[in-house]
Amino acid sequence: MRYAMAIDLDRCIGCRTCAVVCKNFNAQPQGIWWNRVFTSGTPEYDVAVKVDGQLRMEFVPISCQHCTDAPCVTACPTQASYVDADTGTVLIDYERCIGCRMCASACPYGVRQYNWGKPAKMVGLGDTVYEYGYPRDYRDDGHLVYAPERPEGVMEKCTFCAQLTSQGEDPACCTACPGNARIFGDLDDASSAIRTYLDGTDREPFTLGDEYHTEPNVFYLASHEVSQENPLEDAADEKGA
Amino acid sequence: MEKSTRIVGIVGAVLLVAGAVGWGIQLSGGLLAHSGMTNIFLWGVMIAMFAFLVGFGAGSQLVASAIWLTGREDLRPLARTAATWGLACVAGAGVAILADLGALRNILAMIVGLNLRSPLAWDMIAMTAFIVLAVIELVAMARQSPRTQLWAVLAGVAAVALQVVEGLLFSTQNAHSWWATPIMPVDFLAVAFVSGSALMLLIACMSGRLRKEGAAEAPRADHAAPAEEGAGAAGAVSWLARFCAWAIAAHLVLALADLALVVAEGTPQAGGVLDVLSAYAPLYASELVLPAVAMAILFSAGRKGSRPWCAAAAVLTMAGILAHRMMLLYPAYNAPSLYLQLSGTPYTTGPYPISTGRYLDWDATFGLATAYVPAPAELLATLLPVGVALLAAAVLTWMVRRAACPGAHANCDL
Repeated sequence: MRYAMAIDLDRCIGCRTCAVVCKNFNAQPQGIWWNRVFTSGTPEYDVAVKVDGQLRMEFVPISCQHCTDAPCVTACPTQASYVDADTGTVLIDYERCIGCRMCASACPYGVRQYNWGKPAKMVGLGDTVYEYGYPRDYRDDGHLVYAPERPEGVMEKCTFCAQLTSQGEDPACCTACPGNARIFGDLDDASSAIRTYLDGTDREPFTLGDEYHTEPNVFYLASHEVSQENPLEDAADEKGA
Repeated sequence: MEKSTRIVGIVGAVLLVAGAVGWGIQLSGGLLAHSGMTNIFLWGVMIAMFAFLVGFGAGSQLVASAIWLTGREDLRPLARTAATWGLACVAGAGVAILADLGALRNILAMIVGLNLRSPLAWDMIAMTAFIVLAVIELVAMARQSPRTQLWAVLAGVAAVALQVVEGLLFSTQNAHSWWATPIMPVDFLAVAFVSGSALMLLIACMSGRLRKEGAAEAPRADHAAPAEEGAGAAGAVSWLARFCAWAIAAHLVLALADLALVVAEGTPQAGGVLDVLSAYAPLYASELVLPAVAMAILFSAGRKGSRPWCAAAAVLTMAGILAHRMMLLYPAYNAPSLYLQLSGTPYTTGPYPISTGRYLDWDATFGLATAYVPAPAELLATLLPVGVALLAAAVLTWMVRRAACPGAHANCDL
């Protein structure tokens, strides 16, 4: 079995529901984001980039790529970061993590999140703290890979919602995505949702950070080119001329 | 205990207590809460101090091993001092690593779950091996064992291994183009030679015995009688000056080669590194210029054994190496690693932001770089490993001297 995720950029509308649901369902403390969505080409959100004189805007969600050759797993001195032999998912055992941050340093995707200080729950309106997240610890073969109350000083990241997928459910981000842009499943199973989706498209899936040779298990499908003339710039050019 | 040793010990104890207070503040607010680090800038001044101290430790041991290997009996008191400081500095570096861990409570996992593919695991193995061999070497020196040379050579090999592994720890991290270069392990070794010889040079220049001798003396011939060790102390200055100058030359060549590689790389990541180098130009210039000036001094006045000039050069070198250790971090962490291509096009559009993890501190949820400035408690905590190193050096010096030269303290060491 090899769990994987496909993200169809044609379907992503940049609503960031995946990021919020992920944060909520996995009880991520203040400041921690396992999942993030940005507009390709700009550090700002919702900004188009100019390509061949035309404007184009594309949202790219990024979370742990669950690499087959994960540099974080190699770097971890205590085997707290490991690849689950049953699913190929990269997980972190909170009870083995010593907080050296070597794994985050080795990860080229910047997806690992460290708990600086005491992990604190999000604060609601009127400074009220509310309970959120999957309420019970989850252990994978004895490894503590999810805890609603995060231990101090440990690294955390996307687990493909191990507490859900172990029950045959999809990760929360896939279920919540309004555009159905995320498709999850077993890449080794020809009848799985992800294989069916990837086999049924004429677009070649691509992975991020190929220069790092990490063999990610998150695949992206390129958006069809959507572009528009930039009337403001054209007007500015004419004015300048 | 001699006055100078006592002073080093007292300063070490004070720094240790101050550092422990800083570390306590950090722990009380949640591990590493009081720091300037983020999920972008993952290692801070404590890791810089670790690399700084480990370089001095391994380098001092290399000086000791070099003296034994070259058969310079006149310099053996220096070898003892160097071996002592080597062990003390690496012990301090070990404390720095432990103090920087977020979950020290899980440290047993380093033993029961050690991942032998991890460079950090090998770093700990190399450091432990070094400490064990350095202790044996010091005991052999103290007892004036006939096998001292063997242990000195083995401790020297461990020092080389420690620095190479240290370099590999950084150079195997492909996510950071500033680190991912084959030059890194070689340069770590060169920096150790620079650091160790600069530290020993400073100690030799400040030595009370040497001051009493007045003007510097020329290096003595090999195989001089041990009774004339005082002249060896003076000879040590010019010997160390040459040693340090050549080590600086090698380090500068490697540092410039590293820079040339980044310039030639031409990737967006390398461009990001060059931007950071430009943003931190004064610190980067310090890393290169201070040792270069020191090298010029050592090649000129140092050859003649001028103590004031050599001491100044040693201080300049150490300041330059501290800047070098800080510059190990800024261009690595503040140059983004992930650049996206607009899908379906060949256009690399830009770097992708990272969640800082420090929203409450700075209101910055996501970012590309962090203008890292160590927090006050973090800076204070950095004194902990320095204090440990100084205190350990004083205690070890006293113990070794007492064992090696009972009743002849004044003539025994530098």
